[in-house]
Amino acid sequence: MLSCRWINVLVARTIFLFLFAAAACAQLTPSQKRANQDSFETVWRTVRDRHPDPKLNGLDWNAIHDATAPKIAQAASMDEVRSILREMIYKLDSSHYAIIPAERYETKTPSAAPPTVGSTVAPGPAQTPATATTPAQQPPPAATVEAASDASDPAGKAIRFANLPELRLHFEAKTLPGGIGYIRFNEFLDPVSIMPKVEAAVRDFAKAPGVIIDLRGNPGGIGIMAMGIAGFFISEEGRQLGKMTLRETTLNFVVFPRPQTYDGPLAVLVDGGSASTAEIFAQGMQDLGRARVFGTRTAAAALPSDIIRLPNGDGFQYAQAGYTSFKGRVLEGNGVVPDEVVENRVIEAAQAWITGLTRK
Amino acid sequence: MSLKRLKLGLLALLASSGPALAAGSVLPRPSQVFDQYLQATGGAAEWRAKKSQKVEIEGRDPESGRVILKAKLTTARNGNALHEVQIPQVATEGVFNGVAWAWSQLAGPRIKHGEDRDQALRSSHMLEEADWRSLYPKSTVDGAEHVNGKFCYRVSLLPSAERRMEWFDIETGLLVRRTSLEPSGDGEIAVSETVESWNWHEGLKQPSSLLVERGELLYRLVVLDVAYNENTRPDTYRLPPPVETYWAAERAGRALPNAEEIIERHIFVSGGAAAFETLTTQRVSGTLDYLSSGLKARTETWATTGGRYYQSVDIPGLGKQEEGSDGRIAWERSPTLGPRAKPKAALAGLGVTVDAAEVAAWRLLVSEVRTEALETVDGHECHRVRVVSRDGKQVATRWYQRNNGLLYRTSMPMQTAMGTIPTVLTYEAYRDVAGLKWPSVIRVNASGQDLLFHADDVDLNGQIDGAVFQLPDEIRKLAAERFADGAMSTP
Repeated sequence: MLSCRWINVLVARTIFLFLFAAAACAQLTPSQKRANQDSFETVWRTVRDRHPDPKLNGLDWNAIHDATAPKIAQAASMDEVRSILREMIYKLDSSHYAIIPAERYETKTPSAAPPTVGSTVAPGPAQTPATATTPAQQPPPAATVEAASDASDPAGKAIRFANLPELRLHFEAKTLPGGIGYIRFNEFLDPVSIMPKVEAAVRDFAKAPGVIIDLRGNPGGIGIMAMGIAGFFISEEGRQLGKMTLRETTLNFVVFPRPQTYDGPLAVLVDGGSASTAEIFAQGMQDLGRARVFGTRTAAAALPSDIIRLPNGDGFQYAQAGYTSFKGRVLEGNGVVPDEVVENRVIEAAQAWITGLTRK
Repeated sequence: MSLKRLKLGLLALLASSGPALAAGSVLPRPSQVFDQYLQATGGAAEWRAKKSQKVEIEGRDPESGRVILKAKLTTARNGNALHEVQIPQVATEGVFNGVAWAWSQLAGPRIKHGEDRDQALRSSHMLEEADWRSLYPKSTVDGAEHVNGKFCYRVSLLPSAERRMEWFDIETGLLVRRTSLEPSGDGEIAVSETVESWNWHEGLKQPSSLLVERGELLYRLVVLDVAYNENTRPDTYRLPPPVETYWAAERAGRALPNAEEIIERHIFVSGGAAAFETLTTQRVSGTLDYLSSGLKARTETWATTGGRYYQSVDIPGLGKQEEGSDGRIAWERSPTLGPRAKPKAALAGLGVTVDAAEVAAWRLLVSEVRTEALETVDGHECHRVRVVSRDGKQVATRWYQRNNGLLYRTSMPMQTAMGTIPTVLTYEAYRDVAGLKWPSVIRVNASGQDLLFHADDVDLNGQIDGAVFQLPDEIRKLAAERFADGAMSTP
């Protein structure tokens, strides 16, 4: 049917769902074993077909298949199956590969105490082979300097998106001493609730001497939210945060300026718990000369990814694109290097920079 | 545009050597009318002395003067013909020893068969006036009437599949007008040619200017040059190499159908060009499943003529994604990226109804179509057709089902603000809606991501409340600020 171009329009606008989120011993029944075998094949095939590097970092993927298949067949528990799969995907030496246990989809995230800023999560891959957890799923880091809580909902808002397990979302916007605006959120998720809050904050901070966006401990989320939030702080058309390279094409992270933008000094705070979309936002704004970045080097885990459900009920997160910033910086394995490396009293450092600009 | 029909305006004309009859008198025999015409235009001997004819013609819009046709037509008395067209598209067609063929830059070579071939053979008769007795032995003079200010005999040329009629000036014997019905995909097109002026050349008097009405198309056809007996060698009319190769493949049973024919067949089996052209409104609702991520979105699409368009996709976790146009301003809005008024260039990519009209006018949008292969796709035997956009920048591949002619799959680069997304659309579960075949299921693979669209309600040519196309206030305000210089879209 030639007249179905509307479906293209529809797809074009909604295809950018790439996730940039850096992400149990009973006997197995015969049906579980079959499901595990199918899951193994799905994981192996998905990596073969979707990994951004068609050469799979030089690995002999067929040989890996043949070596792994018997292990899956002989595995005695779900934990063992997951361990074997993780062993296989970690050979790729890339972030954004994870096996998410099915139990994670069945249990609700406990209402934890609000996360604190000044994360102590160590820089490095977003998930480790042992746990495959995202920084967001790590135990809340110890507070160091300033607590940033959502006063209206201390437990955070429970959200589910696509094949992500349930997560808790926190947002905070407040005015710091000196009239400086401060915005913090712990995931790039739920744009329906987050974006209006950012918009309202930008409106409230219209005359602020500066604004601080605190992305410490933020593991990322929906990639296009980086573009959407950048649009509140960039008024010039045609700017880009960077680009992601899939096997078939390259897509630019274009910034669409909002009707109302904040054009004053902007500080972005990061740490080792800042990953993925948080890194894309911070590096892009730094590259464009729009923001000064404070804190410590980020997680160096920034690959566009997707999460699918496997036949055995587990989730499988896999990378499907590479990412480079506007100035060509590869974030995967490198992370964002702050303009001002500050381990403690990060907010104060950003405040001092803004105040200094005001005095000039 | 048919060369055959254009050629009809140049075909030799008939006369009678007998005296003109006054109105109200007994009608003459056809031979009297034809022979008078022959006499008035040079005489039968002069007509028969011409073994070949080369005519250069140009067609212009009578109002704007724009050239809509430019061609060189060469014909031989033995039935061979070669027509070379520069405008509206680079193409050649002809007849060689009974083989009727065509080649176009748009669609490549093809061999004509059936009615298509018969029509080509009929129109390749050169200077047929001298041979009217053998070509139209059952012609009749039907009456006498005023045409274009002249009192004329009306003659039916019989037998003629095109139901040709001609009017001859009783006083001068010259042709005044001729009409015919030309077969087309959706029926017949009425063609009328009125002679405006004449020229003598090498002993023959032929029309030098004609006003042609072909369906709704009106143009003035001017003869720029005429030459006789220059192209009598058979080599002149030999099949060009690509056509020769195609003809050999066809004889060996290896030729693929011409892409133009495949696309036209698709339009025909989908309801016909007229049904697409009369499509004024569309409303489609359904669900869009993002298969890998487990998301299911609700979609609604409205469109009507004038480029008015609105589409919403409500994605759990991402909210409502909207896009639309009131015919002047194209826009989009989403919780993630906010509102955006687009420059008018973006409008060209929008619109369901615009799309539908483009189905019938597909030739205006492409520069080349070629059938590449016959292959099996998901168990369906399909012709693979390559389609190149008018500007040559985009190439799409389409698979048309051999058994029913319907489009099964399209692969193309989809242009977005963020870059080009390779996209494959697979059309399934065609339903009959308002006389059109409509795919109710569309599988989508966009840069590796799989989506599935299910249309649960399709309404064509129904009433649509125009309010759905009104710009949201924030878009109106944004457009007023952004396009204050008048750069907004125009209807």
